[in-house]
Amino acid sequence: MTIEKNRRLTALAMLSAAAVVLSYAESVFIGPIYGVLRIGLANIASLLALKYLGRREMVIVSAMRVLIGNLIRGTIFGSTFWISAGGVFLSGLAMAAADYTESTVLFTSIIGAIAHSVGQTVVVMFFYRQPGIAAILPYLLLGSVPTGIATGIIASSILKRLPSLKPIPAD
Amino acid sequence: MKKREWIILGVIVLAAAAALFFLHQRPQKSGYTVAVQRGDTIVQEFDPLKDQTFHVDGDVGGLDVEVKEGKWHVIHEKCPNHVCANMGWMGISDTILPITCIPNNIIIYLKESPE
Repeated sequence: MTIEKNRRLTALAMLSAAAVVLSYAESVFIGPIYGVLRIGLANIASLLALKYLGRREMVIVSAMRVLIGNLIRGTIFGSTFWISAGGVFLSGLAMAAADYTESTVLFTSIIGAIAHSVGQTVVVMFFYRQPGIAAILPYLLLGSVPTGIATGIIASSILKRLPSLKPIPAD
Repeated sequence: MKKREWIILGVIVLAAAAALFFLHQRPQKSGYTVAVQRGDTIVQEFDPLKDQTFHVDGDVGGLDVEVKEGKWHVIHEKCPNHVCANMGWMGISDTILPITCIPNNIIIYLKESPE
């Protein structure tokens, strides 16, 4: 039991670190496509946490990625922080709901990507009190489907290779 | 993926495609006004059919807006990610996407259209 607990904690720490690194690496090396659409590589880590560990752990990984990621970039509690927090919050909710209804990894990933775009747009609408930005939503929604498929395929192929958290019996 | 998941995705994609279709149903004629808003206040308005280039002050050095033949785009911005400049040209004939520069707290959007 203790071994399993330790393994879960280690996996959680590693996934949180992976989420932070992926989010930072993406912002530095890839950047948004057409100025607005991100691939969302960090979502792979959140998705793995959800399917491998559980919903509570997914929330922790997502929160770490927003908090530490923005702390590294020096944008904490600024406008980009709230926009990313809004996206992660809604995508977390959507992915948890998809997981609750026992959806496939691919679908959970796509729904997460779509909800992330919607969450960010809603925050910008609120931040700028500018409902006109909603015009960007159809583009983001259509763009989120391929990025969600890409991260979903990566996450499901990693999930197949992850070892069981249960300890192997000694005898 | 399950059948239920295909249906949900199909509905989302169809809704987005329908919204895009309606967004592009805007013919080009005069009477348009584009607004540049910083925070809560509109700092400048322009007619997209009059060619001009002007500077707008912002939180990180501001930006320049170039207007040409019914289209407008952002140049010379000093933002870290260059999101607003990378959005490229926006025009009344093909799109009504607002150009958003989060670091400068500036948004450029189509305010009025002819009825």
